[in-house]
Amino acid sequence: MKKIIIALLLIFNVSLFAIQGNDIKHSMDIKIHKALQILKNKKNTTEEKAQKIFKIFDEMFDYNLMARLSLGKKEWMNIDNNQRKKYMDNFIKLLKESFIEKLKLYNNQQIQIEDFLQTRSSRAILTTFIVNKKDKTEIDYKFYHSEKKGWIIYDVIVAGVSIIQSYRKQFTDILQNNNFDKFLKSMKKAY
Amino acid sequence: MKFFLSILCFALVVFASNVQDDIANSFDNEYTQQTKKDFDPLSGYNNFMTNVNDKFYMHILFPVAKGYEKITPKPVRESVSNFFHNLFFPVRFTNNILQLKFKNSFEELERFTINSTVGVAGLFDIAAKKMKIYPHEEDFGQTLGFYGLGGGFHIVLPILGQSNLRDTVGLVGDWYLDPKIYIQNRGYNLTDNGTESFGASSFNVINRTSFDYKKYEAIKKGNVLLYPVLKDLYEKHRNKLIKE
Repeated sequence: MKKIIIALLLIFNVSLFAIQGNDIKHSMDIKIHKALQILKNKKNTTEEKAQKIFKIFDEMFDYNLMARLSLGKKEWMNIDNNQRKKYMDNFIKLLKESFIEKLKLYNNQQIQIEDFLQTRSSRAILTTFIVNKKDKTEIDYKFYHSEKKGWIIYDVIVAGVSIIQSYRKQFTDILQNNNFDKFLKSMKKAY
Repeated sequence: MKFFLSILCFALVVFASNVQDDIANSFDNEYTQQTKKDFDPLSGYNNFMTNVNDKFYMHILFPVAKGYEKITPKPVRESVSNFFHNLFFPVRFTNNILQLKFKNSFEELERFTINSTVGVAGLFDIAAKKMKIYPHEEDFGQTLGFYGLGGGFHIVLPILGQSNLRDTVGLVGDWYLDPKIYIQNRGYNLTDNGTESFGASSFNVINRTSFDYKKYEAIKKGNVLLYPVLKDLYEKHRNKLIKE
C-alpha cells in the first residue's frame, strides 16, 4: 500500500512545476536578443534571417497544438489522419510565412520584456513591447507547462489580436462554404 | 495487491495516450467561448467591399504610391505628411476639448502655432523635434466612444476601408472641421471646390500610403481571409485609442 501511495505521490508531483517565471523570462530575453542581432546583420536576406530565428525559437512553440486550436475541435474530429497531416504542414508554413512578412517591417526597433505572469498553475503570459519612435506595440506570448518540454508557447497576441483566434475565425468562415480540400488550397495560396 | 497495481498501470497508459487530446480539448474551450459573439449584419457586404478595396489598393493605389515613393525623397514625403497633419489641427483641438482634455488641446494649439510659423506652414514638426510637444490624436469617433457610445456594427467604406457605425458618423464631423475638405463655403476653407478638395485628399492618401503599404502587405501574407483580420485589428485599435 505504501508503494502505491508513493507512486501516486510521484505522479502528482510532476504537476508541481519547478521552473520559475524568472528563468523563462531570462531565456526569452537571451533568445530575443540573439534574434535582434540576426535582424541587424545586413548581409543576410530576410529569408535567411528568418530561418536562423526559427532555429532559435522552434523549441519554444507548440506548433501542433496551435494548428489544432486554430482549426477548432469540431473540424479536427471531422477529418482523417491524412487530412490532419496535410493541414498541419500547411498551417506551419502559413504561420512561418506570416512571421517572415512581419520581419520585413523591422526597422531597428527595440524590444522590451515586461513580465512573466503565471495566470494558473500551468498557464502563463509573457508581456513584451516593440518600441517604435512614436508608440509601442504590445506582444504577449501565452505559455502552458508541458511535462516533457517545460514552458512552451501556444498563442501570440499582437496588439490585442490573438493569432489563434484570428486564424480560427478565418478557417471557420472558409469551411462554412467549402470542403476541406478547397480550404487546404486557399491556405496554400496565402503563403 | 497485484491486481490493484495492474489496474493502476493500465489507467496510467490510457491516461498518457489521452493526455495530448485532453490538453487540446481544455485549450479549445478557451477559444470557443470567445468566437461567436459579435454582431455583424453587413458581413456579406463588408466581405465583398474588403475585397473590392483590396483590388483597388493592390492594382491602383499601391503602384501609384510606390512610384511616388521612388521619385520623392523621404524627407519631402515626411514634410508633406507633416503639412497635412498640421492642417488636421481643428479636429484634434476640438475633440480634445470635447473630451475635457484641456491640457492636450492647449498643447495642440501650441503645436499648431509653432509649426505653422517657425515650421513653415506645417512642413516641419518643430514642436515635437525641438520642444518635445507631441500631438494628441483625437477624432469625433473617439469622442463618441469617450462618452460611452459603442462601435455599433462594422462597416467597410469604399476606399477608406474598415470602420463602424460610430466612426462613420464621426468621420462626417471630422470632414466638417478639416480645411482641405470642401463641403460648403466656410471661412477656413483651403480648397475652393470639390475637385480641389478631392485632389488634396488624394495627394494626402498617396503620400500616406507610401509609408503604410508595407504594413498592409505584411498583414495580407500569411492570412487566408482578409476581412475578419482587418476588422479585428481595426476594432481593437480603435478601442485602444478611445481608452487613451
